[in-house]
Amino acid sequence: MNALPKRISKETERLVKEPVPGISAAPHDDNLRYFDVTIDGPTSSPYEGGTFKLELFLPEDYPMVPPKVRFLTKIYHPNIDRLGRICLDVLKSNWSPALQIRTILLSIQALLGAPNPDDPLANDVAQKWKEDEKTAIQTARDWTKEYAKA
Amino acid sequence: MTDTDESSQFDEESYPSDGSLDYDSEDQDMEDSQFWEEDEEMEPSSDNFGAMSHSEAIQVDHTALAASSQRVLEPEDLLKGQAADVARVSELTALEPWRAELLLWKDDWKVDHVITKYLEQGEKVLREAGMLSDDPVEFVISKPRPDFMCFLCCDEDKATSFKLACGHECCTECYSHYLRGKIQENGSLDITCPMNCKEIVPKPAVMLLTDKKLQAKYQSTLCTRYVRAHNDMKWCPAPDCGKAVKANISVTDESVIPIAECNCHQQFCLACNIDEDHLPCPCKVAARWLEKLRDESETMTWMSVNTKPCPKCTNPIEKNGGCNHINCTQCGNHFCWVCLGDWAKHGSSNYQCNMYSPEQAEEDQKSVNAKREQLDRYMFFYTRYNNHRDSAKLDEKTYKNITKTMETLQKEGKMTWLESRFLPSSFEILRQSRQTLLWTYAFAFFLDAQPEREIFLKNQEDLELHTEGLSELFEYKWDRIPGAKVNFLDKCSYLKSRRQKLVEHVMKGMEERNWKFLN
Repeated sequence: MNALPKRISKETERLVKEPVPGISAAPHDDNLRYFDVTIDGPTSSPYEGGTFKLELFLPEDYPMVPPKVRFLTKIYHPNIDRLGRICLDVLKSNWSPALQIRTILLSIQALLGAPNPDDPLANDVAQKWKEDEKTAIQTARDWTKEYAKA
Repeated sequence: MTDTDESSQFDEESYPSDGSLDYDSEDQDMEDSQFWEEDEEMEPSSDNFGAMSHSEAIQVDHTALAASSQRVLEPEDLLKGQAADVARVSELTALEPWRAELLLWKDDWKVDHVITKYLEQGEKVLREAGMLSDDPVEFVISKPRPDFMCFLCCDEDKATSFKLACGHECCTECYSHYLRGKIQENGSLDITCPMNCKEIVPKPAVMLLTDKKLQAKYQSTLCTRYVRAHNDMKWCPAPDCGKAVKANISVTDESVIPIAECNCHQQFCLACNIDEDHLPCPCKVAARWLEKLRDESETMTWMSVNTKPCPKCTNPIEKNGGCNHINCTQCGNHFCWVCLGDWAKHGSSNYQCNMYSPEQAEEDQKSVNAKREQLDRYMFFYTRYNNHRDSAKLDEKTYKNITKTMETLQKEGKMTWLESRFLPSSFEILRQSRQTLLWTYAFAFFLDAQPEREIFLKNQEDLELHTEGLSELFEYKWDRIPGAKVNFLDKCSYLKSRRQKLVEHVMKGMEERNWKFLN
């Protein structure tokens, strides 16, 4: 692999120096493009009190292409599927090289606070969310308690 | 990032991307004005395209689109067309050409609309089209300077940089890299500044920051969008043709069937999706026919061969065992497969259908007839339509032999190459007559009973008779050809005029909205 681009080292440096509240991201020692990420569930959301682990990888072409992000902790959310893949516009068509790891993680945190069952990735969850929101939210809470406790 | 997408419709050669097609270049301006003058001499019309380049092949008359009402557009014609539109808007709005182009792009190349809209609403229109500032802009690459840091790669020691009016500056390497990705994803004048502000990267900036290969791809995407924005233009559907055809008549007028012919001889309709000459069928009728064909032809053919209708309920029944005693599962009727008569009358030990009674037969037949007739009617038209399709395929074989025949005639000293040129042109007439004939069956299938229908059927009959006559002439051995030349020419001129008459008759009815079609 080529030398680490300055952009990535700058972003990493800033993530460590001025961390975003509720979010941590640390690169692996042996692969500086691979990050261990944790995101705290936003307050007054069904994910409150949970700490979710994610993995983030910066492809060779970053920042011309978006980072690859995936949830490692099991989560009940209409826009996140069983494999932890995330349906989020800024990770796909709306990516711009001006966005950063920091902004992407903030967007994911926001997605936890505002599930969008009308643009689902996990169809069964989204359907449940639309039909019986109360139960769906309860399930999300239960899963948070069960899988996302630090 | 991979190389430029090879599936692009144009190869590099068709898009000279050395900047000579850029509307900013002086050479181009000159070319454009020449091009305009030529156009005005040829035909005083408001469109941007020079006269159609005629191929050397024999031009056959098209009733719907004569050569004069269509133009074949090469990629460079499309670029010139765009440049001319841009020049016109630029002139009347006093905007720089690149701004005019963005406005045109935004509003589907509707020149007059764009001009009016800008004159009425001014700057607002510019904002909407992705020009956040109307300050004069120069597209230049900045020299390296010590205080610059690229916001994308964060390098401070890069050589050169670029920015649009929005001021988001990054190094040229990052900018080019960004544009390459976007252009490969078929981006054109919708590519925004990498900062994701709404500022669009205009063509001069793209040309400045990309290599020739990418520029060609970019131009081809622009052309694709340009053709798509015009409902009177269409890409030739032939594989790898890369040309477009523009109609000089309205294609939205339902009484016109705008069949175009590209220089590569591919024929297609400019008003619908049928990629062949479907005269004399109006687009809607032709589409209905094709749909029916898709839905029913295979089933129908199989059914007519393998099934008999139940004499009571007319449901088609397939005999799947040796016994002639058929029990219809739909209506519970028991009948005999051989005579279709009531099984009860066959008695207990009687397998011989020897009980023919005229009265009974007539009654049975009546109930079957109604439904059967529908199928038969369809089969009648379908068989004829299909027969001409098949014949056309066989004719193609004949065509391959024509050159051989011509060579033989020359070798044997019977006819010079020039004298035998009537053979390929006669074949062209044959091909075209068949094409029209097969579609007459689709037309006739949907045609309701009306006095004009009789005339149509007469025309059809006549065309068919003489088409077959010409087809037969092509079966002659080479040594009979010289003697038959007169027959060839006679048949051809007759067919040509008959085909014309038939199509004109249909078109006249369409103009007067006289044709009544079955539902």
